[in-house]
Amino acid sequence: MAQAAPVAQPDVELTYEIPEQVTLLSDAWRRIRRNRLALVGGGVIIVLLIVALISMVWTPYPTWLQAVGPTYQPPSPAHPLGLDNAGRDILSRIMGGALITVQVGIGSAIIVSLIGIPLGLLAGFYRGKVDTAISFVINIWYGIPDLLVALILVFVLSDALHLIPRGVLVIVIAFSLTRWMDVARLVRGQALALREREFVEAARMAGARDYALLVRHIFPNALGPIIVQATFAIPAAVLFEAFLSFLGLGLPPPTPSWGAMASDGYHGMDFAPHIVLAPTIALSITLMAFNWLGDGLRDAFDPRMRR
Amino acid sequence: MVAACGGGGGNNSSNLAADQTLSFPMVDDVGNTDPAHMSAAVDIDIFRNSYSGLYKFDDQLNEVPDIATGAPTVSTDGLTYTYKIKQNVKFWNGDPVKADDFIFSWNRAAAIQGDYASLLQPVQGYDDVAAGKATQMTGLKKVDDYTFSATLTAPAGYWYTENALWTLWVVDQKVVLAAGKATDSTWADNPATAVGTGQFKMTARTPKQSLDFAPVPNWYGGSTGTITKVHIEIVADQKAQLTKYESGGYSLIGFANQSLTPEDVIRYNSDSQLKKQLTLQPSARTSWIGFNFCTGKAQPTKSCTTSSVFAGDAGKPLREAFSLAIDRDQLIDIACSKGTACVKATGGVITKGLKGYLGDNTDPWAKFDKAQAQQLLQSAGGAAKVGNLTYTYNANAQNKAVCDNLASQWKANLGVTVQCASTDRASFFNARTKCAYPIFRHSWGADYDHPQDWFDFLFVTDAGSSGSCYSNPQIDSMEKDANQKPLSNSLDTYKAMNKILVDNCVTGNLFYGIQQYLVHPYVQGAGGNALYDNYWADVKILQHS
Repeated sequence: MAQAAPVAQPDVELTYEIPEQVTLLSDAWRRIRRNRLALVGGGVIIVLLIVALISMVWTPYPTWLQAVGPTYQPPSPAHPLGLDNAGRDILSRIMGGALITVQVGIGSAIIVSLIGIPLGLLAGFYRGKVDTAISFVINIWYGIPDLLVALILVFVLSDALHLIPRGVLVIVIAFSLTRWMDVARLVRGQALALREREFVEAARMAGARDYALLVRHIFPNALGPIIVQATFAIPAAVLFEAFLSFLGLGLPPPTPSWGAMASDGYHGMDFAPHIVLAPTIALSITLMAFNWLGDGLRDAFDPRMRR
Repeated sequence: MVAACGGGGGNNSSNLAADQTLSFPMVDDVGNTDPAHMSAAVDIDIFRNSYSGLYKFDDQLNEVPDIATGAPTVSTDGLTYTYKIKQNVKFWNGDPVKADDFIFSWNRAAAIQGDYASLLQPVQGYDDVAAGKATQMTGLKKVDDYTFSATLTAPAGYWYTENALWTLWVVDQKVVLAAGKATDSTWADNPATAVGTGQFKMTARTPKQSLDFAPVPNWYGGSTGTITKVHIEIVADQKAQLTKYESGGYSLIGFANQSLTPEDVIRYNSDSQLKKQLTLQPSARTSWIGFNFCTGKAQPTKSCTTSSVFAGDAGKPLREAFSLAIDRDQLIDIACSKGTACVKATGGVITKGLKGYLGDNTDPWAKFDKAQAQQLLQSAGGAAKVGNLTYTYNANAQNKAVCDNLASQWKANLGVTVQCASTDRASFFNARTKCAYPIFRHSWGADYDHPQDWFDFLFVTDAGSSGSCYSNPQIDSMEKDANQKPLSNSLDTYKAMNKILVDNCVTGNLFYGIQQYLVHPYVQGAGGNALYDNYWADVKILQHS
């Protein structure tokens, strides 16, 4: 029996198709670039940030200075947005108001996140009594009318106890203390899901402690939804500040809050609509920009949206 | 400015509308319906049509007889005033008005101790009645049914002027006593028992909603005019008031010391057609910056707790600097609806048009001089001397606008940052009485046209409404002397006192008030004098579509 000749092995190089390595953020960025509304929103926000930064060092006129021209003067080359009921330059005050908006919006988003993320992580990760306790607090907090509590907080902290001067900080604190639950609840849900995932199990088996699991594995993987939630918190905070100031309960005059500016001009709508239009348009555009960007980020971070 | 006083005149009955209902809104309901309790302008302006007294003020603020037959007879020592009252005067329920009613009414007002009970303080025995030790002032004596006298503890030249004020209006003692104790006020809330001597009587009242009045049939004084009904609605929203006015729902807006929103005034004033409906009447009110004069605990007056940078001679340059740094034209333009709500004060603290006014441009600190203001501030130690300063006011739209403008001007012209702080009216007045504010909003609406009304309540040592704890023995002495004399003999002294206030920049005088009236062209005779005296009998409603 003839012995079978050995099969010649071709000299081939094994090749593997390695997928393109993308991080969470780069993946999100890739998809958000395809979302035009989100890009417009982002562009508006960048303009807002630039205007806010410029207003820290320069405005055409001091935002507090009255009688730079006749009261109620409509827009003119010297004052492109006109003058208000106290003869203040509205363009300057819109610029100053941008800074307030940025401070309130971003400050609130940060504090809301600082409160909500740790509580959500703890509740979702440890479950059991910790989750029950934190969820109970969250539910209780949801049952309290947030606007009313925020108004009371502003009054108590600033006017009654004089702990914090009436200003951006007290508005941010009042807002954050009444709106942290959304982030906490979201993060709790993320933590509940992520703690069961294989990579967390693997890390646990490798001896990782709870802190490391939370900070290095669960939190980074929940970051997308958190960013989206924080983005939506910004317009809510801006609107809250504008609302308080419109009612005369927000920032003290002559702080150029857009809400206060709208309030100042509201009674003169009949003959000087520019006073109320300028801040309300600025406010509307800003709110829309943050909402467009938030929607875009939500889509970008959502795995189900991947194609 | 247009003075809108007196009757419409010149219109025969054929021009009159069939419906002679006078209607107007008020932001707040009346607070007190009993003359002995009244202190708010709203109450007084409404009920002066239902009650009356010995005297009243005419459109030029002259004191003229009302129930009295003429001016009182004054004894040579200036202590005893004898009044004769008209014999045909009746309350609307038919009860005749006699000397006993006046004595009862005045004793009652002293016993009740309402906000203005001190008007009766000059009368002998007032202190005992006020303290509850007696029920009748010993100084009041009935001479006969239609004559009585008031004997004072000391000569008081202002007493005659005070005779025309609401606290001294006559009430029907039969009605009051039938309803309860002399000091009870329930009778005054009930239209059936709110009995007065005025041309109109209250016919209905729904608290916080409406009041209705009707002319008194067969009023003792004769005609009550053409108005057959007065309907007053309580509408807190000034925009809603104006909307209803513009749809013909109200005859006018402005009675009872009501005002319009700044934007509405500007709108009406800037439209040639609408402007015809707007009447601007100078009012007897001055607004100023109050400076704190405390130099330490109980110094110079008992209410002081801490020292103020504005106090005394040392603080004078600062007071002057803060006053000179204000461009009042700008202030009036911005805070007074382009000058429709006030005019700048350049003649001292007593309002232009009142006795004691110093004359236009006599206040050197009421001009705008930025350079001199800065120089004075530097001489006083600069902005650092002032430190963190807060200007406090009771919350309302005009006070806020004033403070915002002052803060803007002080920052621009002096480089001093002043915070504006508002508080509710009650808290503000409570704290101001204790001289708690270093710099604050102050104003005074004259109760009557006599300088004593300003000095006694504002500028003598421990004056009840001072707010600044100002004390000047020279003013005290001059005031004591002037108060004892008839105004014809004391006016120069009062003016000299006013000059002392101006020279020392005791007040940073800002503006004098204007009362706004919005009146349909078919409503004639609406308006009043500088003391807001509006008489409905002067009003006529002409035919209109």
